[in-house]
Amino acid sequence: MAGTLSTAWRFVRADSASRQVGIIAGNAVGTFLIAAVAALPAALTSDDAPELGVRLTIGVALIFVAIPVFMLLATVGRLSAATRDARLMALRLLGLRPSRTLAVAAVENGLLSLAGALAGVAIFALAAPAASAAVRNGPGWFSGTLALSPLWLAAIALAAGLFSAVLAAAPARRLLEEPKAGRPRRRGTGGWWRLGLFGFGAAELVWLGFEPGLSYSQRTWAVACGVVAVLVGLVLSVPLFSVRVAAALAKSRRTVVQLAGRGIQAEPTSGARLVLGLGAVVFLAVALTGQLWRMENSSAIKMGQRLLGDGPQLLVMYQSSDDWWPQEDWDELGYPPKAFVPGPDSEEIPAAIPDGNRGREGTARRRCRRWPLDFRRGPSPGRSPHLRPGQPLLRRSGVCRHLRRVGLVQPVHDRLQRSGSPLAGDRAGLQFVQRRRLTPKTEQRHP
Amino acid sequence: MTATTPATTTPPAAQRAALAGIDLWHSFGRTEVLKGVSVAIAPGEIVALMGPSGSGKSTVLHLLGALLRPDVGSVWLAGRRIDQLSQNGRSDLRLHRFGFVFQFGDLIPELTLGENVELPLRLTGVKASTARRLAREFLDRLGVADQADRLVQEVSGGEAQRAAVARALVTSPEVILADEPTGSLDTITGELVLEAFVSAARDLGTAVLLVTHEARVAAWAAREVLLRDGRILGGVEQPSTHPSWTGQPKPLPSPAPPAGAPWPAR
Repeated sequence: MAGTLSTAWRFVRADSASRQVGIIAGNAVGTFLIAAVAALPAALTSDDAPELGVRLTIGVALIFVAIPVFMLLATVGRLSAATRDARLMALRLLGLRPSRTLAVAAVENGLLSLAGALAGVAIFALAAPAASAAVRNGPGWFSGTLALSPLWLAAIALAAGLFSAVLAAAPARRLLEEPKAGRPRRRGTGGWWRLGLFGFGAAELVWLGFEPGLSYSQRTWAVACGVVAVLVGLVLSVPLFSVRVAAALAKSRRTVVQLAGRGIQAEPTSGARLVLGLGAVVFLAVALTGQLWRMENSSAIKMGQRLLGDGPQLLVMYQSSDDWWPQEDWDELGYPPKAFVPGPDSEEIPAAIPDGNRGREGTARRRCRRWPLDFRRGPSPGRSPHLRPGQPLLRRSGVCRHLRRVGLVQPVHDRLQRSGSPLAGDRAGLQFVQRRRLTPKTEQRHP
Repeated sequence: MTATTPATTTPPAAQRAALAGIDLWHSFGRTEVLKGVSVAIAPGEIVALMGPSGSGKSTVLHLLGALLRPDVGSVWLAGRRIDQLSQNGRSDLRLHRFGFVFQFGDLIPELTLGENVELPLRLTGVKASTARRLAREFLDRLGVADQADRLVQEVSGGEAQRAAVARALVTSPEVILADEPTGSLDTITGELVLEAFVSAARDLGTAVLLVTHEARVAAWAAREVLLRDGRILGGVEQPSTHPSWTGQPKPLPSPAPPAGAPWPAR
């Protein structure tokens, strides 16, 4: 075993500087992103058990970020793979057992990957506190701290190093069958099985389109699984496309095109890697766009956008859990919500205050003046001057900006705490706030 | 292809031979490359396997060297059948009992010549210092000791090929299988390489199979086997009158037997 390890170590030192730097840097970036992704949920929600919709959103976001990271790790592990494979083939010719040859490949890549992973977590540990503070003081996306314990960081570094080592050694299996003299000939990677996962994901998404009987959470998970299957399936299919395109090019009558086709056929993985890299960029862009679209269509974000609107608007508060303000708080506020807001966990909240209570209105106005909300009666003609459930509530504050950016109302709650609102207390009750532009239609709905 | 039942008892030809291939058939896809080839090499014998391109010479070498399995037929090393061994068993054989030399050396370009020669010894568990010393001695015997610290791409093709021969010899193998070992060498360097093979055969009793299409190289062998279209055309016994056999080539260093060899020492 000592001979195997010393050989692997010698190969590590024998690698070109560009390969070493490439693998280390790639793993550092990948590990940094994994650490950031792992720390994000706690930073975004200070609540220990965020509601299902938030968990799903974060989960899907993590998957979207994680897949390109894993692709990155897998790709950097295959840098200059032809050179490495030639070395491994030479070892097999000399008579090194397959398992020991794999061990050499894994150790060789694992050491570089581990070095990169350690650099990645070190950068994260150094940069996270500053980034966390900057984000909290700036856009205010984080309600918690972006940080991981040393144990977590060590586990991530180790896992990333192992993952990269295993992935890098996996393609070396083809060297283990029958070693031959000369440069190892690359095998075609055009098996149709590569389309399997893509087909499964596409079929699932099509099925979802015709299946109305699923709950919101089931549908969300199913969509997430289908999208991930389609995208990973696309990545798996790249070598197949690469080989087929190369075969088509090689049949061309134009010499240049034919040479290009033959070149890809000789090294199908290099072409595949190029396509894979481009695919990763497109994938990431699509994923982020999709995630933004999803967030912008969430009730909280829509509410935030509506809060920015001009003119009379309706502010509605609703809950998604049992933990809610006690009735007396609503009484004090004098503005109990009464609106049905569609959403994952919507609920109709009954009116608590009798219609036309002037005293309550005054209390509510006084309370709200101490908040960043400007609590005024709407100018709709013919309306009662009294504040009633569901009546327009105007605002001019910076709260909406938080809502627009994050889609979670935690910053509002934090702001209430900072402003000393009597309703803030230690409750995390204020979860969603929705403001609607008053139109004749909404007037009818909320008379 | 006529299928025959694999031999289960040692054939007479294999009993006396260091290495023997009996009735070897092999195909690559639909192309039948070997059609019943039988070759036996006695200990200390140099055999030249000759034939035109595409006649199946290299395939015979790969079958005898446990790099390929025959479709039909058997391969015997010192009276023991080896073609049915597991992947690990055949790997161990190559590491401990075979030495390979290929036309382009197949050295690892990222290592120095010395490290390339040390490599099989290190992989068999020989101490680093011993491996380094032996590698130097063998490189010295082949006249490239002064290039030991250079990378493969920093030396000439002839020097690299001599290092490849040193690597094949350094573990004191029972059999050396050389595929066009002088194909990329000039005449003088080629003779130096062939002299090393003669020394190994004469001093250590190593069986040597030279695959070549050059009559000049085959003249160094005690016996020539002619191969054409996957069949043996005939053998030519040569009297050992070649200058290298009658002269006094420099003896090879005596390598220490590698530690941990799975087969009994000779």
